[in-house]
Amino acid sequence: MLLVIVAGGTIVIALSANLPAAFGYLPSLGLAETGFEAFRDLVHTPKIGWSMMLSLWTALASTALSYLLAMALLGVVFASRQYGGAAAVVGNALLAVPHTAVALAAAFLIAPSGLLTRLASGIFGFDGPPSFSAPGDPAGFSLILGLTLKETPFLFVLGLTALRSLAARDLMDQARSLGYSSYRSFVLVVAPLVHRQVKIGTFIVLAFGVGATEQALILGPTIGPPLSVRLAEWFQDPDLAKRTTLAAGSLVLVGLVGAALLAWQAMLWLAGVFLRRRAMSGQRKGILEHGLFIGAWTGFGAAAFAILGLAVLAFSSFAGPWRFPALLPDSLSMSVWQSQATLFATPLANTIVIAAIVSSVALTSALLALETTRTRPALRTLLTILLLGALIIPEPSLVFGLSIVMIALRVDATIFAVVWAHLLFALPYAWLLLTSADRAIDPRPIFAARTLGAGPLETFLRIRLPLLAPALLTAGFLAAIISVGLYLPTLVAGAGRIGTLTTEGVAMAQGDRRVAGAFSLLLTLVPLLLLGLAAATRRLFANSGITP
Amino acid sequence: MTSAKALCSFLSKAWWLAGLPRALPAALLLLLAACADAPAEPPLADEASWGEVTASAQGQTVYWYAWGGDPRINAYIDWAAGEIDARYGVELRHVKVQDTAEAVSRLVAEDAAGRAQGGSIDLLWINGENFAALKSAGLLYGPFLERLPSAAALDLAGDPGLTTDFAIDTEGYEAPWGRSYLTFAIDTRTGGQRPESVAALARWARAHSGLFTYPSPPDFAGTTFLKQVMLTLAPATIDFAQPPDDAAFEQATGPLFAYLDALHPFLWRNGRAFPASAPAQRQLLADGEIALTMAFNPTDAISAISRGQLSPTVEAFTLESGTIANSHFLAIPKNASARAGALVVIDFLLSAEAQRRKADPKIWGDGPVLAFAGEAAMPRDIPRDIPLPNPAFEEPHPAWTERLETAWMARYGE
Repeated sequence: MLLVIVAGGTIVIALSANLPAAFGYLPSLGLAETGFEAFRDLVHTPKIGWSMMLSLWTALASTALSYLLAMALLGVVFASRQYGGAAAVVGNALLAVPHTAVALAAAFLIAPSGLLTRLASGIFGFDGPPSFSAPGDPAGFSLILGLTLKETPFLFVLGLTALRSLAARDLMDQARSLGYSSYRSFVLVVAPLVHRQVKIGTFIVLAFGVGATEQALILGPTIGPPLSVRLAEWFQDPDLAKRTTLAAGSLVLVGLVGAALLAWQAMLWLAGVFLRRRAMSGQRKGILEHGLFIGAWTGFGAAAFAILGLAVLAFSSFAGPWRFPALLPDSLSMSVWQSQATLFATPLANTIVIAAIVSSVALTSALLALETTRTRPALRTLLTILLLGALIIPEPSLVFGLSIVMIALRVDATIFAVVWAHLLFALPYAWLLLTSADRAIDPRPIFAARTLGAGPLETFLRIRLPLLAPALLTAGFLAAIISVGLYLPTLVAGAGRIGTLTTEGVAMAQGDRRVAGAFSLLLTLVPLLLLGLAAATRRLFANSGITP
Repeated sequence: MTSAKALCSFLSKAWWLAGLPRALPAALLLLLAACADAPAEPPLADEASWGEVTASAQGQTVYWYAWGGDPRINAYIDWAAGEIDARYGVELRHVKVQDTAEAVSRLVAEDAAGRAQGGSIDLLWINGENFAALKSAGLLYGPFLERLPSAAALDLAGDPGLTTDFAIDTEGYEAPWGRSYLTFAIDTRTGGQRPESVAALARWARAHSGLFTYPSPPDFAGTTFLKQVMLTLAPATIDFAQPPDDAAFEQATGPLFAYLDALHPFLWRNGRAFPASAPAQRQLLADGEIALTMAFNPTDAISAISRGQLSPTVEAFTLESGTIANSHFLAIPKNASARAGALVVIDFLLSAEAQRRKADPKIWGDGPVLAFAGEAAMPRDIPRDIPLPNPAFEEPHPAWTERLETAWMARYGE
């Protein structure tokens, strides 16, 4: 019961802590003069309107793009009837790689001296790097690219799960028997059903995009940055009055998510009108199939781009001098790994230990909450709404709000604070996975056990827990993978004192690329290892016949 | 109470070692939460002898907030942490900040929150405007410099660079740690002949369009570049050791901004974006996107060549029209949790052994603050291919830095 309150309450407290602070009341920092000064300061920040529009535009564009690519990929993979398994592996792998690593990889590919222009210079024969502003272009296209590379796998994997639970194959076969091509059947018949199940997923993607911080730091413009980056700057300003501006900005960011959701719904409505008109036309062939085909190949291209970027960046950590337009470095060198080895050890250890604690606390509390709310369905619904809220409210608004609470309680800059902040983002996924697994449990063995005289505890331990075990494992690994990737919660709650691969990776991104490459390699390997472990243990369970 | 304290200190060190059973973490977290409010170490008495200092430092963890933008410096700090742990039983943790202003923000916040003890920062790498801000707010511990045994080797009376930080008397609230000066590096393959002065630099940039830039102020290397150009071009009548009034500021920065206005169209990305730091700009040089970079360290480029980041065609040099030099320092916040530990760390960092290692161009190449026995002081003892700072400018008063950064942001940054 207490856990439920703590888990759900944190979100409410974290968000609402911004409110008094935005109006100047921040007693833990000795600020008590209430008024609209913070909002005034916010409005008078140079180019702030541009920053807000940039946050909105990059989030909407990347969400729309990821959604289209993911749907197109789903359509082509589903219609192919055979690549589902392979696509799921690649999708899950890219989903597990942290935003930071993908952003660093994309930055190295698209820079004027990056790998892509080096390839082009080999073909077209120019010697100097061309002059264009990427990454860090003022309109945020690089940032949109980085976000799309990460959100497409998320929506794709969600869609695959949805497809499994739908009788999609039958629907598609019926449509095809009416003479529609399989691509067109997918778009007109299957996609709307998938959409209904990934809708919340698109909201999460949209909210994340509005608040994206680490990718904005690496790929976004430095002059006139998105609002999230401004918030991070205000958090570190020696002028404490900026903390109230920060709180006001955090609230504005929530408002931006609201605006983005409205715009997104309008876009979906328009798309719906368009698709309905296509469906009513009765045409068996048309541009939809071409769109699906192009989208899917763009999606494959994006996946290949991300994998290539990660591989090349990892390779760069073993490189010697590597000047434009050389496709390969002048020499290979282990100097980064040798001289910096001890510097990787501490963040690596911190990352793993924090992930382990977060994962076990998330599992324990999700399981306990599951049991305590078993007889209280209203409470369970409330908890689900609150936890989902943590995913729809932009990350910075929650994190900076939580930091106000942490400073007041004097627990900031501790491992406890970092774990607490991580739980805010890991617990919802663990909870969603467990509740859906719990719903799927066949109640009959439980009734039988109770009839045969087993007590509630014994029933739980001997029937329910084994039945939930595979989902528990998946949830545990998922929580750990999420924890590994978190940047802002780690940085703010840990006050920089607790460095993980993500925080150090972003800090190092500005210096020697080879060091960034090494961090990126570790950041990619740790979640992939966790993913592999999850798959291996699932297989173990499957072989032992425990799976329901 | 003591057992609770011992438990907390055990937990704070060993939490990551334990192979924790599933059920334990929740309980552990509650305990850690309690630890956050546990009473801090009793503050070290001002008259404690050095023996008492090292004794109470034993077992402490020192959180050192230090700029973490250069892997080479991080590696040096990591080496020092190992030595200090082995010799004094003090655990040194490097908190890598991107700008020391972050640490200032944190200390100001803790002060406003009434956290007079048990602060989260034990040691700071600092100089200039950040030191001035903390000292005038009364947030630093001191004076402590003369208590350190290693300080006996410093020529405090004879060398103003050890006790003056951006024209401000440190009064023992800082220990000098090293000194350095602004150095440029050119890739001769694409950049050709090096420019010898500020004026020649502008001509060079015009001839090599897009191949020069500077780190975005308030990054310290970028701000230092601005100051060097300002000091070179400003009328000789201005007293930079005093905070500027509006007239002096206009007079001193007029030529600077005229220079930058003319320079920016020929910079990398036409002066509409700037690299975040000197190491970031070094990477641009490594990629061949630019041909000229700078660092606040004479051995930066040479060491990057030896590590294989830069190609051997890169040469380091200083401008003959004048080079800005300064010292950087170590300070202890007033509310530090591990004051004794911080003193022990500083004492070690000032030792001849630590200073000699720091001065090694292969390690870091930072100028030492003490004269090594039998060797000449910097810059005479450094190898021939490392450029010299002649003639050297002194750092202006920190108020100049602040106004300069604000003016630059207003003009080019928004």
